[in-house]
Amino acid sequence: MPTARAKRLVLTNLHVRRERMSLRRKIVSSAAALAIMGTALVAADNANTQIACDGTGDYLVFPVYAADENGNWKTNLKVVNTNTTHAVVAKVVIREHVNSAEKLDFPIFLSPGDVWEAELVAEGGKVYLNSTDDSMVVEGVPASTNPVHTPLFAPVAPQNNNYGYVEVYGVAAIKGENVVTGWKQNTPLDKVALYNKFKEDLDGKSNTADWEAVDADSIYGQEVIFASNQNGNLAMTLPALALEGVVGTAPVTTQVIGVNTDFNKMIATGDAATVLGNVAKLLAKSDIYATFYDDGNGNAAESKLVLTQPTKAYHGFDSTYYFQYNTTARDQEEHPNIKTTFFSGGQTKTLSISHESAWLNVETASYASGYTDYQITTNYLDPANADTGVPVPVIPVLMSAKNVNGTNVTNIVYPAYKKKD
Amino acid sequence: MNKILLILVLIFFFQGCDFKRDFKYVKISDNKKIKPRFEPLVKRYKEYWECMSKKDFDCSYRYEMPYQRFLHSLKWYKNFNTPNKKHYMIKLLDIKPVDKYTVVVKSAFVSADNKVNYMFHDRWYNVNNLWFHKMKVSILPFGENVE
Repeated sequence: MPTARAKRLVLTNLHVRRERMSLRRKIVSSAAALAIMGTALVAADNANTQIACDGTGDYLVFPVYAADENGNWKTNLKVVNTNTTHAVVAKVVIREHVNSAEKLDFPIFLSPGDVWEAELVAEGGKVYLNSTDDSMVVEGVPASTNPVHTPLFAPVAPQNNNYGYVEVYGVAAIKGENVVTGWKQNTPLDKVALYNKFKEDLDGKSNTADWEAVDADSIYGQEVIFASNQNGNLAMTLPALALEGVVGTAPVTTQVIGVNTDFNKMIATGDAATVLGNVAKLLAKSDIYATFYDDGNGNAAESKLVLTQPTKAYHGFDSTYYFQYNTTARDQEEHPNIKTTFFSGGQTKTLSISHESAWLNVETASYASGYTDYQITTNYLDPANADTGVPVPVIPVLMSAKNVNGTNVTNIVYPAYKKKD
Repeated sequence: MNKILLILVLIFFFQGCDFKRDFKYVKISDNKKIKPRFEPLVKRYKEYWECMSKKDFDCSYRYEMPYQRFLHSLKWYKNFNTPNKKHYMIKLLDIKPVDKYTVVVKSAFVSADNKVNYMFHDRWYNVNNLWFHKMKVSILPFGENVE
């Protein structure tokens, strides 16, 4: 029978042992954290680029826009600065869908908690950017004073400005009071003052004292692709894909007003090629799953898969490079219908995609409802097919349209996919 | 004699109706001079869009390309078009020949409430001396009536 003293000793020993174990864990954890922090400090935060789970980031991609007179399609874009203490300068880049050719780029000047809004519309055979938002300051004049109605640069064959995608880079952030002395949170901040401050300090200059990097949670984007046409009033809303840890830990000092956008120059710290490679890896997919639905009459309702490859042009590939894929459509009883080729003019053709933002009618194999697996088989990054996974860095979006009780209902989502490292 | 006179009056009356068929929802641009070879096309264009604007899909279906009618049943066509707007105005702006048997027609759409106005292009094909419209089978973007 142990004495009370012996019991106390045992308990004390246990306590000490637990304390030691706990301390050892703490030491190990701290060492790991230090190692991680050390890495981050050396290689900057864009050594750990991630797709943002919360929708906010420092680099956004609106994976699709439509601005087409046929169908009267337009796209509304919004970029939000969620930071209520810091103003943010960001760069918007509009790229057409065939070759990712840059068609317009410009900075936007977001005060703390601000939203920038614009529309892409087609008129008379051209696509225009329209904005009356004061966050868009052109040569010192806000669009609220002088509305922006600017055509995209004309397409050169085979480019097509009616469709494409939009990138947004976080450029720099600054405390409101460093723009306007005495500025208080939750009050408007003069965008022209922000523009002037940016022109004075950055935009090809290195007066970074008042400036910071755009943090990983500052900006998000949302778009609405919409039309009012013969088929009704149609709209589809999609958040921009946000990545965090792309631009780096310092403000971008490269000139961003009036010059073409180069990925290398938009990365403030770290190695741009490594960051680009990391973004490509994060977007790499081997399978994309497109679900389709019965239209109520035993046919599949219309669905389209748009596959956007925002890194392809940065890697130096145009639309002469392609990736190949198979499709396996399955009905809801798992019956498969596999396609690797299609017929064209009596010849079989391999299924391939060359456009940098490609629009596909979802292959339903005459099933009314089910899903289709788009399996990537070869790609331009790996023409010899040396790896077996053959991932393609792609952002897929899935659109659908269905007659619901006499009204056309349209929808857009990010579909499921299989990741391939 | 009276019967003959009555028949002649009726023939005259119905002929007049045919020539002066009123198209409430289709117009030809004042600036557009129709070449004689496109008059049969314009006649069918007017008939087709009048039917579409009235949502008389039994009528408009007859003007769609024969091979597309083979692929898409009238039931499918009606289901596809039922949500369409009604009583919009279509104005023919231009006809651009692609080849002997194909034209692209540029038109304007004006909604019944006059709030929506846009231009669009659609294709017509001459099959056995009759012009047929290329059926619209897509609601989503990037699916309109031009190849």
